[in-house]
Amino acid sequence: MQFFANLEFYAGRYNITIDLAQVQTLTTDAIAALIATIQRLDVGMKGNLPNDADAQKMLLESGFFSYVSSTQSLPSTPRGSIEQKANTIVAPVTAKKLVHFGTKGIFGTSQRNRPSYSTLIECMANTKGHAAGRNNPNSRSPKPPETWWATVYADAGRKKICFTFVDTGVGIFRSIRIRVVRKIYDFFGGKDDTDILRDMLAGKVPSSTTLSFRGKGLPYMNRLARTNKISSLVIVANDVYGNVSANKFTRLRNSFHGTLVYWEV
Amino acid sequence: MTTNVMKVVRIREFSETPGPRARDEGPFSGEEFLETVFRPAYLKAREEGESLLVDLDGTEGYATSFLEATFGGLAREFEAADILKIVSFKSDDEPFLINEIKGYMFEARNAPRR
Repeated sequence: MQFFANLEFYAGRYNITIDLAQVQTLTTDAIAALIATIQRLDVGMKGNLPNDADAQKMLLESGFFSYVSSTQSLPSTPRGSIEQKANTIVAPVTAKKLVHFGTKGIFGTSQRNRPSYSTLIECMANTKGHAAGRNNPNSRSPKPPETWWATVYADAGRKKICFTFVDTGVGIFRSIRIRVVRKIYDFFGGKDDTDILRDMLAGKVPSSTTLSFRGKGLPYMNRLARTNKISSLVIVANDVYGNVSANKFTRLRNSFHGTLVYWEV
Repeated sequence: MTTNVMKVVRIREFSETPGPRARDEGPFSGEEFLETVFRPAYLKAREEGESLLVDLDGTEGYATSFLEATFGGLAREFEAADILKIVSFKSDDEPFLINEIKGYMFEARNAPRR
């Protein structure tokens, strides 16, 4: 998160080259968040390859260099185990393709995975409905729709399908009407955003608040995690890191600009 | 009062990839399914005294918003208890969905549409 904060600070001030040479471990959620952040900042950036062979392979397969200019010549690498898609609306056929890509990579045949499909649609709907924030009443043009980025990684080594969903919108805790909810929480003893996320997952924040992910989406994802239909469910939004599967919620020193959801099957 | 005739609505025939709540959010929405398939089928079954089975199997899965828009949507127009005298559900893929849907229907009266 500190890295993203630095990236945001320096973007627009300097020409940025992201030096990844010393990176030894890369995960698809980090790459997805990085790509989404670079796209949001809308400035050209350069980058290099990690020296570590596994991290290098991961970065090449992710399609990272479709968004970042390479400072070196790149070996041709098929994007065999990672697939990434982006859009601004709820895209059910894309969700199906991502799920089937992952299942084919792990099981050898393209299969349904209903929990992951449902979670992808919930996330896309959240981005479509809330991530762009409220339109300025004084502006004639509506806010542009927010883009989401969904990545699936077939991790053959662990026999896991890893999904990452990112948008760089306003995030759960900066969305419409959150101030009203926070006032209510403050009234009942100064609960913070981690408490609000816990309550949203438990279905205790009413849909009438028009909160991001309001109503039934987050409780449904929580139930999928509790019943082990999905595992390692993590939600990062603004200043909250929630490892839902492990029931651990912490405040972040550096806020993430948007919402990231990660899970495995 | 229903006859012994049972009509079947298979959601997979609408789409194997059910989408979001509303049309403006993306394709294959619950709103579209309600308007083009489910409400007409319900009204016809009610008029003709038939029962209606909604088959939820054979799709990629469902977002809660699709189900709420469809079944909660109908329950905002008609009493949930009356609907359930005519409509029943089949879900071998995810049997828990049936109770979820019934919950959405009984909650629908007091909930805002969006």
